[in-house]
Amino acid sequence: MELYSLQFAIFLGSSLVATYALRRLAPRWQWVALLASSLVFYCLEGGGSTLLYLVGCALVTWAAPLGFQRLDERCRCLRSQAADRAQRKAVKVRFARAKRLVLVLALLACFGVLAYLKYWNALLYQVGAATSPTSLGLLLPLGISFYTFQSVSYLIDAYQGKFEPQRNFAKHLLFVSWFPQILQGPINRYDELAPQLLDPQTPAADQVDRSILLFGYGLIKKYAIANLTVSVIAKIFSHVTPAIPGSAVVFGILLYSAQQYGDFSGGIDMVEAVSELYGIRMAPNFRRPYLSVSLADFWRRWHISLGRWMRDYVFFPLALTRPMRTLGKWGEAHLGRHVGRTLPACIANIVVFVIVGVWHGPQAHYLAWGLYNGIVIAMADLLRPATDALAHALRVRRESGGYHAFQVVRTFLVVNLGWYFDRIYDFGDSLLCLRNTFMHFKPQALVPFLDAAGLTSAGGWGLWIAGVACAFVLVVSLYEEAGHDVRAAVLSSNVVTRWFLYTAVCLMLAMAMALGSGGGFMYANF
Amino acid sequence: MEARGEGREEKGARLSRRALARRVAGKLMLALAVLVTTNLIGSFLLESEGTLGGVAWEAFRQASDVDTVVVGASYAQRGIDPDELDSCLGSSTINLGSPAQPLDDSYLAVKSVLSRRHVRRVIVGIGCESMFSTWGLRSEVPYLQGMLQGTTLSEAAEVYLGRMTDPQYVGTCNSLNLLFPWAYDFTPSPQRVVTNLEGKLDDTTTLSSAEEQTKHWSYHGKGYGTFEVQFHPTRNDATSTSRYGNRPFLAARVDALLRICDLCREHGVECVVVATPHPTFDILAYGSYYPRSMGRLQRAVERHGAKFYDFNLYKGGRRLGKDDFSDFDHLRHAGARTFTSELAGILYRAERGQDVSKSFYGYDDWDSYLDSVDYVAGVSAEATVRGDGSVTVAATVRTGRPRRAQLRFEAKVGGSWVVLRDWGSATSVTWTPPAHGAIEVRVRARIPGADPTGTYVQKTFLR
Repeated sequence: MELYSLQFAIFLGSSLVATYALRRLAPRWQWVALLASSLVFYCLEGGGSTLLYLVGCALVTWAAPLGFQRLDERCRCLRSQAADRAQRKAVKVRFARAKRLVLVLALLACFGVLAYLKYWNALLYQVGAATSPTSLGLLLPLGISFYTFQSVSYLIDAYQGKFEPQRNFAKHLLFVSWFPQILQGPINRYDELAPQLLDPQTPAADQVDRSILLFGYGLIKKYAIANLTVSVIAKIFSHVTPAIPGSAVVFGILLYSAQQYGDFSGGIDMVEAVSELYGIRMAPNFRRPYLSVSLADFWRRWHISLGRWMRDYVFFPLALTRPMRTLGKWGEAHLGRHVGRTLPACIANIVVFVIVGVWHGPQAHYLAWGLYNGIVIAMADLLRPATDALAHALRVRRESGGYHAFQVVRTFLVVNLGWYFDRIYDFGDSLLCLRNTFMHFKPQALVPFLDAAGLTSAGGWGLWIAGVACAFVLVVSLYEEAGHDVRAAVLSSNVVTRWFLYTAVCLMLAMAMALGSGGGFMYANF
Repeated sequence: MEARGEGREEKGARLSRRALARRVAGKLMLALAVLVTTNLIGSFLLESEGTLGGVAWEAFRQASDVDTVVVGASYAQRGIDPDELDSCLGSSTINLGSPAQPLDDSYLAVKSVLSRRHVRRVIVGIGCESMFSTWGLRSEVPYLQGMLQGTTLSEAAEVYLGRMTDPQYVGTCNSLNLLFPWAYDFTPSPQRVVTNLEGKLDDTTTLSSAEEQTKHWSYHGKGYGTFEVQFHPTRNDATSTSRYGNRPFLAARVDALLRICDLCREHGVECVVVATPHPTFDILAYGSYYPRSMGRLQRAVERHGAKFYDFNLYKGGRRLGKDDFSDFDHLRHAGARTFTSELAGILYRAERGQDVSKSFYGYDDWDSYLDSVDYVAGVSAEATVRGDGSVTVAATVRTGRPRRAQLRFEAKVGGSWVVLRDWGSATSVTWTPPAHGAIEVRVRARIPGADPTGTYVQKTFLR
């Protein structure tokens, strides 16, 4: 079900009416309408058969924290009865072990299902035990990565005692299955989302207007950018041969940059807007990533909720382990203070990005993409004194606008180099395309190549519209980056300007619909 | 006092809720009004006046007597000539086919026809692609608009609502885009928009507008028109398989076809499903997929009381050549006339109770069909460029007797043809061209004895 479809419009309308009716008649029970909406959405979109995985994941992550709580209570009870300090300590150690065991089992259950469904067939194929990467016919449930990561964050936070675990399974199920987040995130945190889900506030009228604007902005990104570029990108990279000109590769990668941002952030804008219609604000997931000043900054602005998840549940736990601290001390002693301090973080970063790469898929090119990002960020951290010294020697004014622009362009190029390993589905082809980018750029071969690849005149028109939409998004992003609230500015502008803007956007969307194809989101089945 | 204060607050909250509801409702109404107005203006400015579906339906409405209608996608629209059929059978035929017409639309067309006229025969022209392609609204909306012209609002609403809530549409953007027909009937060329607008203001007819806006299209009357372009199989070796793939028939498509058969049976109308002719090489390129898939379809169609004729397996008549086709799967006017007269002959004989099944090869007797193709129907070539600069040219011969085929590979070097590999059974050759750039390669194929002249394909590859 696309978010721009009659089915979704009917679903959303019915769900909003039911929720607002319950909010009026029985406010205590309005979360039931949200849960029912979420389950209906899941069945409509993902199919009823895969709902069991979601419910199973919710069940495990609901039961385990209650187990932690019981263990804590029992531990407290036994410690209060203990004769001396040594006995109290022994009780504490015993229960800590038991809690950890429960945590590990729950984690194994959650990630085990994810790994089995996502990687098992590919693994068997790699070792020759399956005829194809999909021969087992394993269905990847809708949003499995997103709800698994979100549930696990709840599990770990509950383990760390950050909040009281939810006793009501249905309420926990609502947190796991909240329908706007299920398609492709964001990965929300329990302490931020659950209170809103269980007691949503009626949005103010201007909030409804803001949500509609955000939804429209998401539509432009998805339909006027992502959907108009996807087929051209496929044409460029479907048959990579040694003869592919570097200019075509660069063109394809730049389009992919736009497509991926349009698809993912456009989809997020739409679901954030839908959630806001219920008075529920979800975690932000994008903050103008192509205006980042470094690759690390890019990853703090792109898929923010996954970055937060990785930081809190992989990066810090890994960087602060005893072996890492030992390594840091060794580095400080042998390689200097800076290296000693940054080395654990560098290694943790590489591990995080390898995980992110593998999360994208079990193929070598994703692993290469993860490694590329991890290594670039690690090297940037390690070489910071050298780059600082160079900037000082060259008398670069780092606070100047020119330097800021240089950083943004440099980061954009570095990110796009990474996309070679993400979009080109064969690692050898990625290297070939990289080689041709630098060795056989051949700008004059671009147009003949696109013609030969089957770019039609409609496709060409689509690219022009996508270009206009990209320019529109860039202007909005620059305005936002300067600290302005674009939605407020639009809503407070005069009626002529506002309706001129709405009409222009509608026309752009209509032309995009005419030229592009529909389709789901790239990250829907991650 | 406190209770009174609470009451006032509650009243205030209720009022603000009411105000919010009024505001939301007002905005919804305004948005709807703007949407409808924009749609009307957009339709007037950008919607094409002359669509091929519109021409067909206009012919249908203007015809005084109609007893046979042809529906289906371009296979039917460009393949079945009503004049030829009528001159052979004495019928009154209108071709209601249209480019990329989904079988769901064919069903609606038949339903609409049966509610308006007393026809006695419905001919559905199909090909494999009709059974799995999803063409989208660009072809559908103009056709539906042509069909609904002059009907009541409730009829139009029924068709539109039915389509919007169709399981294939309801969850996609098409379910809403259906309401913006101009967006789907709009080719983004300013010149075309101007022409279209001029046509509307000048009261140009649907036909003249369609002829002006559809390149190479010639109208021959009674809804039937063809694209008169020359087919060059020696330069373009594309086939249905290479272009669309041998995809499984969609249950929804088969279901739509069977619904047409059932509808005809309910109305006591003869339903004839016809697979229109493709060039022989195109049928051979399908391989065993063709008899397997079409055989299943034939059995299903016949179970639903309709007749099924595949003119790719027709034994008699003139063998259609490249001049009869405009591309690898569509007929030109000359080919359509030949085919239609053969179709008329079959219908005539069937009408008189004769067994016409012997005039066709059966899907379960595919080898006999292959044996009948004792010549080279076509040859295609693909080149793979390797990192070391070598090029491998691999050829595929389309014939019923591939084992007996011989091939010769040539390349143009310095303006003259050089033989890379002389006549033999090898189907590929690897060669390192002297320089980078465009390479012209020619592959000839023949069957010694049976087909000494054979045919060839000439292609240019980039290295």
